[in-house]
Amino acid sequence: MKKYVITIIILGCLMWAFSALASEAGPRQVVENGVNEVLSILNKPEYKGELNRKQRDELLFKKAQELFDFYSFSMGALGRSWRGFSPAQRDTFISYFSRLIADTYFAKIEGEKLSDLSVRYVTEELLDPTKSGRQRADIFTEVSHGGVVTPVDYRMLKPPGGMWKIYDVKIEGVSLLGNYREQYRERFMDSPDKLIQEVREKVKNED
Amino acid sequence: MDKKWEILPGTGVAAMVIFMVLLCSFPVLASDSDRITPSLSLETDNLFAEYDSDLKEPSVPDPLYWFNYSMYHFNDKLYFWGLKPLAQGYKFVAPVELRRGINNFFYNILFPVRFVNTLLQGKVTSAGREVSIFMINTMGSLGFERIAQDKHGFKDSREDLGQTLGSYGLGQGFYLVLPFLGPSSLRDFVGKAGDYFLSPTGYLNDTEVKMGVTALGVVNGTSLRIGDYEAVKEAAFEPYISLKDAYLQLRQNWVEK
Repeated sequence: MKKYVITIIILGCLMWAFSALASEAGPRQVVENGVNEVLSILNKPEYKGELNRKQRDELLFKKAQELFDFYSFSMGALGRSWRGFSPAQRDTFISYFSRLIADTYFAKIEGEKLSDLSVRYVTEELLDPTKSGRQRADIFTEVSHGGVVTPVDYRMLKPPGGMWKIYDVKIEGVSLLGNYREQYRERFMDSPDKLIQEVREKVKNED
Repeated sequence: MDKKWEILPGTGVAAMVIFMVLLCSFPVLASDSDRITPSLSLETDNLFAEYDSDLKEPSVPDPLYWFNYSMYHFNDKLYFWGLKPLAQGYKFVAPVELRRGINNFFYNILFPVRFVNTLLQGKVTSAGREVSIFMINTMGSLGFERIAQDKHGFKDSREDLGQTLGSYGLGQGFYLVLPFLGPSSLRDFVGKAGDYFLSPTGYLNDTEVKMGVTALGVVNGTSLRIGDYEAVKEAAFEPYISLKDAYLQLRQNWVEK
């Protein structure tokens, strides 16, 4: 009898431990779930074609905000210029900049052309944490579409007690964050307000 | 004496209130901690250290900036006024399966470039795999289909002489934008010239046929990528810098592979 009680207690503990583990989604799970959710939105019949495009893009933008750490992305993109931004200016910049990224990379996807799209998860690599104690991981995937295989790597970040989020995407080895960082290096002399204005106009033009 | 007693309970209450506020705000902070709160430690974090070009691979200079910039401008206009309308018209007439087939055909005949450069880099297994891919695709479909890659899971190696020189430790030299051909570098330009001797289209005798075949390859390839250049340009604040950085990052990544 005693044995049974102990086994049940141990089993119970194990199950509790497993459920705790499951709720702590790893970096790969976060990417995988995110990609699947984005694809399921794109594949919804009501979102194919131009009809409900605005609604669909809004949904995609919400998903992007969940998946991406736009704060770190903007900080990395602005490089040295970031220090000149006040907290309020940072918030404004991030809100427009995240829109721009979502508009250019999600809104262009046509639902009809996704029939032969597949994603393969190649490998993942845990990196040394940053000085401020944030964990880092790279997730390597391959996207096949129309007979072309494109490597897409997600660089991820997890602050202590937080969740894994993407802070950079590399397509064919080209880092999106790094590409903006190079551009903003040229704009070091521009005031934060000027840079904000520029992103805002770009977002407006996209509509 | 009385005053002292009055102050002390007052401070006690104040301390209690502050303590309670702190206590209440802690769970809030903990549950909301995925929204990174700006702090000094984030400012001085080393997260982006590897992105700075003075720390990563030696940065590629651009001494011919004015030439390059005018060539960038020339190519840009060439694309929007010439190549794109042409490719759009062609896309309208030719079905996508055919265009993909032609694209595969052009890729397949460049086998000598890939084969020789895998060997020059000492990648014997990759060279053997390139031979298999070429044989399977040529015999199965004259190179119009990617049977080896799609059905048998062969992975192709996109090697060229520019990458071979890079693998020998040769740097990019400097950035170069070529008319018609787009972003390049001194090293990759030399590589391209060398690879030309390995590409079958270079050995076509009739100049008109050679030009026709080359034009078909370019227009066909462009018809499958309409919108890519536009997207890159639209998303960029400095399109010239964006293209330059993308090219150099891409080539660096390919050399490392």
